[in-house]
Amino acid sequence: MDAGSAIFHVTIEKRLCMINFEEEIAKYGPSMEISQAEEAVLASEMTDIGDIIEKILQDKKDN
Amino acid sequence: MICPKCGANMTLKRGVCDKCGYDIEVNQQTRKYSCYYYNQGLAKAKIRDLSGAIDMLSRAVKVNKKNVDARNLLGLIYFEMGEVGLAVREWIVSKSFLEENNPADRYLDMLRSNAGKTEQYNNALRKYNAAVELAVQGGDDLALIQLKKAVQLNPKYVKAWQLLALLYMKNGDNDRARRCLKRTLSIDIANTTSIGYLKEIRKIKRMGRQLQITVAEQEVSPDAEEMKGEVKGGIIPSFKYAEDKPDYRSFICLCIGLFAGILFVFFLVIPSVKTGMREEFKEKQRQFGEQQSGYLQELDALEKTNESLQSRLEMQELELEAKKDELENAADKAGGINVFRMVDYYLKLKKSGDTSRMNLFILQMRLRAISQQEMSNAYAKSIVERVTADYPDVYNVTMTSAELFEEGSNLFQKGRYADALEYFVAAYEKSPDNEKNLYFLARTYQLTGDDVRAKQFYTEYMERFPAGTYYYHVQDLLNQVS
Repeated sequence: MDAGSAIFHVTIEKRLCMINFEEEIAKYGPSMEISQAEEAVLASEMTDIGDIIEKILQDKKDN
Repeated sequence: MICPKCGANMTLKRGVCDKCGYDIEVNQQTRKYSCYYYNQGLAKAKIRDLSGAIDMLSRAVKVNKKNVDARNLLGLIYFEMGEVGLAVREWIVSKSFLEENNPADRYLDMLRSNAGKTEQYNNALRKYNAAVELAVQGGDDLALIQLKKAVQLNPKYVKAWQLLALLYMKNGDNDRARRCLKRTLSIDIANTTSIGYLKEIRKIKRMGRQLQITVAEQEVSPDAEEMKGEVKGGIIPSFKYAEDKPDYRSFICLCIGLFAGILFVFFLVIPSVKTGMREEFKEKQRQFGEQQSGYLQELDALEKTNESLQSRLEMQELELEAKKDELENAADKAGGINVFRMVDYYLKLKKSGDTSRMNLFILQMRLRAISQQEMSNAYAKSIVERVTADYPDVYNVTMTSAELFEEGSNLFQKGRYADALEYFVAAYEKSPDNEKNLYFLARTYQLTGDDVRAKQFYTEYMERFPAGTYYYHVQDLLNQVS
């Protein structure tokens, strides 16, 4: 494939692509490093569905 | 039963803790659902659907935060996909809920003990984070470099491979993008992001091929509007693309030329070559004929020379024989026949140089045949001394009767009766009781013309071997010589 047709094809392919690259790249967030793991544990909210149901039942009981 | 919230004793009948009022049924239900999601996650993890497993296990820990098994497995899956930080977080949380006999201890100890490897994974995470920042800012080339290093440090880092593939796709390098995505699918077989990107690449390729065909079939200026409909974004190619039609005429001309060439070679070149070869052959044949006739003439001349030489040789041999006979007769008359015969054989032996046992034995026999009377002659004596000096071992040679008989038989069959005679004499002297020795001795005497001795030995045979093999034949022969 010569240079002229190569540029032509790249242009076409870019136009044909359905992915919005900027939006897609924005979806990639940073990964947690190992040193940040302990801080994340402390900062995370340890509430599960059981706790939520219990709170609801407690509120209902109180009311 | 112990209350899972406050740890006080409680009865199952009521279903509620007396101390804190905790509803055990809620706990049981949440545990049940959490286990269900855990089982689902485990099944997916076993078939390498890691994204699916993460989804299920996340639900399991959301429903019941204390599901240690689900947390540990979730940590393992994060680790497998390169998210080491998330894995460590899950294991630490798991340890906080269950401190003893927890597999999370072992996983964390492994990371601590392999500090080099752990640092490598951490570096991969840092490079990935840097690449994300660069990609967001538009620095695709630098982001690519960082991502390549990240996947080199941790080849199972799925998100890094995916971002790398995305950047390749952005730059139009779909082949490389495909390879990166296939790598992620080998780690996580049902990763929806990777599958989505691959579908996109295939779509691009397909539409690109269709467009190529469409552009090739159309002229640029008259069909520009039509092509706008085919291409999104209204891109019109600025050059004409048309494939060359195969040129049959040149192919036909080539075939005709080839055929004409073959005919030319067949009808013109080959006959002239053949004629040339024929002439050359004739010339060579003529030269050979001349050479041959020359050789034949030479051969004739040589044959004639040979014939004349042969006849001269025969004449000389006859003369020699005649001389020999003359000398022998003279020697016989002079009483030195045996000396003569011994000298004759001695000269032959000297000439041939063949001092085999047989030849020396013959010389020995001839020396022994010389009588005392002959030896009284000084000349004869000096000759004998000369001979024994030349062949000092001549008297030490011995032959068996069988060997002598065999040699005599060979000469007898060749018709050399005079030569065979002395072998048969020697064989008879060695073994007089052998009827064959006696028969052939008598027979050879007869054939050499010595009828007197022949009669003597035939008579002896008949007396000594009445049942002998040759008896009746000897009877006839005896009548002949009598």
